[in-house]
Amino acid sequence: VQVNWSQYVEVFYPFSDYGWDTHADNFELLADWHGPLLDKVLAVLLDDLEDRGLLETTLVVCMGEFGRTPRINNIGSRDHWHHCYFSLWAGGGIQPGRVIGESDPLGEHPLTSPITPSMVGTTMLELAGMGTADRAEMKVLEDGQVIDALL
Amino acid sequence: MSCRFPIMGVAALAMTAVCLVSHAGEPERLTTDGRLKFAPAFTDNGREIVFAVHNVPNRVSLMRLTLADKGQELLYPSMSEHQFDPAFSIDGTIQSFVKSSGSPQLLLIIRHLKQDKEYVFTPQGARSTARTPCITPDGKRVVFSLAAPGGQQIASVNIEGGDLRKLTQSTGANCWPAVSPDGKKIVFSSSREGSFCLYVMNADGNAVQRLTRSRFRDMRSAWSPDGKRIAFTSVRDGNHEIYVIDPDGSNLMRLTHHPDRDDYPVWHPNGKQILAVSERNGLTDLYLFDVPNAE
Repeated sequence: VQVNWSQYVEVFYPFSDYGWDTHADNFELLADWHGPLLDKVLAVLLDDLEDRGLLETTLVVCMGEFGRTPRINNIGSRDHWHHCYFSLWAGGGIQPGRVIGESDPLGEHPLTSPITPSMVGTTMLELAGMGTADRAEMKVLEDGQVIDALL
Repeated sequence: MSCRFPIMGVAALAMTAVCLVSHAGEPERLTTDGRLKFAPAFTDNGREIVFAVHNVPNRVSLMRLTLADKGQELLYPSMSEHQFDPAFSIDGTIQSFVKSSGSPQLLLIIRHLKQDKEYVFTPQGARSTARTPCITPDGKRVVFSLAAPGGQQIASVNIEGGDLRKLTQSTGANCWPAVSPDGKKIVFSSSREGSFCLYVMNADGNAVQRLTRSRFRDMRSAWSPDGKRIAFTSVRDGNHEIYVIDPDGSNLMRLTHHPDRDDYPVWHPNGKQILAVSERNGLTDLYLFDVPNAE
């Protein structure tokens, strides 16, 4: 199951549900809207899965396709930054309560060995029961590397 | 991934105020619908509250709450754009708020209620925004946070949306301005030195002084009606809590102590209570806190 945050990109188009992009008004948007929404929804999802006994068999990954620029732009906000960002993982047999990887002090690039989108996809498939042989047969991420530290 | 803020010097740490802990007691809950709310403001001498609420799935609207009977009604029921950040002049005749437009811009709206006139300030740039307006006590200017080419700065316009003046010219982001009751000072948050801390400056933008030192966010400051204290939100202790501080940075006092979020402090005109948006058990509602040691 994939849940997209919003069908709208920009926050302030009329009739949108506030969208998710923060090229403008990054700090106030995050404080007013995105932060409270994510905090509430993600926490409730995990609690609900755990209460129903489903969390162990359900992998929850919260991530974007890129992060935001560590340096703010010319209107005091943040643009796209694919060089270094984060993801949150829960359930699916993941050992919780850990931080894996580290960025440089400015958050611009990884200091530790990079975890790539390919590794993310491979790990998801591995946890879903698709091992190396299955992935090779389907020609999907057949050379992909699992995030060992996560397992 | 970890991001580390610039390391503070020993001198800066030595200047950190000791925080007094004071409990506000159980607050009075004013709403019970639990919908996501933000940016409340008192009007009609404390008899009404106007706030932004995620009213329907695809819109944020301004809602008016009458304290006498807790009745609620939309301020602009026919408006299809998002509206938030309401502000009122002391006499209640001028209202200002922010409205979305056909592009990612946010417009500053100034309404003269007696004359039934509306003025619009449109920030320069397709993605530029005006946020969190505050009307000066003399009712002549609107101070707000302007995100436009040149960075996010504190700016002001006259009451007809003209005569733009930028009051800050710094790096980082400058947000959440509040004008003192005597009109002489503006408190705001700025990330110019790394993390969002409170600063105070003269109303003309001069004499900027740093008020707080925190590795985390200090934001949404609000002057007490007598101008002797400033309430603000901070995440310095782990989650959003409300604090009160003197304008010289002394007598820091923590007002709220709940593991859920307490945010958007607004002083009641009586100077003895603070209105906040608080989350309890997943529900976001308006609460009224008594301020200990309030004069």
